[in-house]
Amino acid sequence: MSWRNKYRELAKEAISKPPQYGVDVDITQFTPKEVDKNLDLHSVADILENVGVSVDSTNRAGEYYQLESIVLERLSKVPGLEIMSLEEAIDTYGKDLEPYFWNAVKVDTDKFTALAELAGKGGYFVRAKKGHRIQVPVQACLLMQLNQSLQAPHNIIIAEEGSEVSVVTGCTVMRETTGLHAGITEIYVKKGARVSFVMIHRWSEAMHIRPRTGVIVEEGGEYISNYIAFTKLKTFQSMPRVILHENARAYLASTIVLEGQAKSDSGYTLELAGNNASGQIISRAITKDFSELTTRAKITGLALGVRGHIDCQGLLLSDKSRILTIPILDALHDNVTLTHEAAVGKLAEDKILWLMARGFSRENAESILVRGFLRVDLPSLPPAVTSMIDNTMRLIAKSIL
Amino acid sequence: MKVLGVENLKVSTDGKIVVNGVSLHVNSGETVLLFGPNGSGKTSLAMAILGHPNYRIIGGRIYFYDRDVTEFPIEKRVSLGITAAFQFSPELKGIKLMELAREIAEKHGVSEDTLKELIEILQVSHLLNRHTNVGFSGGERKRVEILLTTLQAPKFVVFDEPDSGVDRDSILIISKAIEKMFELGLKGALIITHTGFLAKHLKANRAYVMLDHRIVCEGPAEIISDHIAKYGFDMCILKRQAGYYELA
Ligand SMILES: Nc1ncnc2c1ncn2[C@@H]1O[C@H](COP(=O)(O)OP(=O)(O)OP(=O)(O)O)[C@@H](O)[C@H]1O
Ligand SMILES: [Mg+2]
Repeated sequence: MSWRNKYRELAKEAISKPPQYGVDVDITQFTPKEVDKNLDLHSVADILENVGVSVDSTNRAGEYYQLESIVLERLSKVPGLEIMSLEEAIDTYGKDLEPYFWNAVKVDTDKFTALAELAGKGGYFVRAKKGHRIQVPVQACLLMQLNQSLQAPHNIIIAEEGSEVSVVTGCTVMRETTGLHAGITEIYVKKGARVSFVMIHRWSEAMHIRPRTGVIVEEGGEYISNYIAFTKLKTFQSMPRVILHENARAYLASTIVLEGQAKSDSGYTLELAGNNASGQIISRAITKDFSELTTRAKITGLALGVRGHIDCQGLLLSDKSRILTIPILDALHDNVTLTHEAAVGKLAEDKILWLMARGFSRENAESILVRGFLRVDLPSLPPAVTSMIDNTMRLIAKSIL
Repeated sequence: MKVLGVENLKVSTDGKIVVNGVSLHVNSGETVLLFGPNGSGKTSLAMAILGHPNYRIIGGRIYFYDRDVTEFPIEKRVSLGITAAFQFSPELKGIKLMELAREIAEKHGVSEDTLKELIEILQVSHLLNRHTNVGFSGGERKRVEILLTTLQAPKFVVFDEPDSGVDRDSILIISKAIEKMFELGLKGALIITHTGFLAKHLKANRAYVMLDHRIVCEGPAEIISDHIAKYGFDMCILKRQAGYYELA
């Protein structure tokens, strides 16, 4: 395992490095926890459904379940799809894994990446083999339940040339708990491949969440990301970085609904590095109660003919909450098209009243408008993925008002 | 029998009197027109009848049949069957027209067949999968507003300029939809308009003219609309005094 040592060394040096954005966290209070391996998933089915995960595994290409630091289940059910835990992948592939290990995300990014390398356990390794277009999603689920727990899995998704895979990850707590979740996800979309990655989060009010995600999309590849959180939490910060090579496309969506005293700072960085690459960052943010939310979106145009668009919309449902939106467009080439639109506000009273004139109650009218606000039209995804997203969005719309 | 009765209504918005002592009524089965120059207070009157909270009633009464609804909030008036088709309907991003149409129809017990028929009459099928009113043309918006209002199966509607910016063919389409509304249970309509075209198709009986926040004339719809077209609004006061507008 000598090849891994250099990452350990880099991590040790970065273990105190504060994050670029968001609230800093004292990481020393959190440690990985072991649990009984024999959790019956059916006993927590309704908790999982809260994050769009169904224990009924029909219509799934594969599954991965992790509770705290323990891998409960991982299996592939279709040809051309490999699923294992990170530890198994390291054992199986050794140094061959290195091109996919701390490459799309750098190990010394900050204390959270360092911590994941030094203390993290588990994480899924998902690989779609060359040419296999898998039309049902892999379902992954990361659960926490113990106080002062650290969960820092390291996930790696590889879509080989011409393949397609979708991964839907639900992360949640089984009960009110304090903890730090710092999941690393590295995604490699090879030539002409397509990956859709959906992450659904729901936490409790004392949780700190620091996902670190990096994505590299090779020539002609496509990456579709949808981050959905409707949650209480203490602090959240995340800024996935997506690099697109020639003719690659990305669609980076996030829907965040914050409750309680939650503080969140999140967004995407999109680098259009290859000629004619194109991408969009689309965010929908809703704040309730006393929550504070910052949405960042940055697109950098580095090559000929690239196109990028940012669409950030914020909705305040409480006047004690706050939304800060920071779109950045950075052109380093004269032949690029980068645009953005952003709007922040509360529900429009004239629209509510017009809907009331159509016969809806005020509550109905508001929920119709919230539903509309939350709707983002994703590029077409496998139907099973779309239906998981739709279910979650319905749950959100219902829980909001 | 009166479906709607407005008596000496005073309305203020933004601290300003916008309807100043208006009385008018609509009888059962009647289509009544309301003319008046820009800013005279027509929309304000419509919103006050609907119960829009931005238009505060500071005097007078509104009756629906013989029920005094002056103090009723918008929800209650709409649930009785009073509504308004807006002059300017909002864009609803993220809400597909067909979804909204179905939701309104279901809520008011209007059948899928009727919905389909109205879509046909109003020629809006190309809009159903789009977000409501987003990027719709002026005329399309008007037709959609009529569609959604009809799907409520209302008993009384104030139509606020349903024909403004609408071509002649579409005016015919809208008048057909309003006829359909009567079939579905509409008992009376007040139509705010600047032209007589819609009036002709709908065989409107009577018309009022509003000037400076008051009703200044009442009379036969065709004659009034004719005079306004020929001589302008001010003239109709003189014509009234000269006895042109005696109703039969
Ligand atoms: N919400 C409001 N706030 C401030 N002023 C208003 C408001 N609504 C109406 N007004 C004013 O009240 C007056 C009457 O407006 P209203 O919209 O009722 O006119 P209208 O007769 O419908 O005109 P138009 O033919 O142009 O539609 C206008 O001077 C208008 O500016
Ligand atoms: Mg008006």
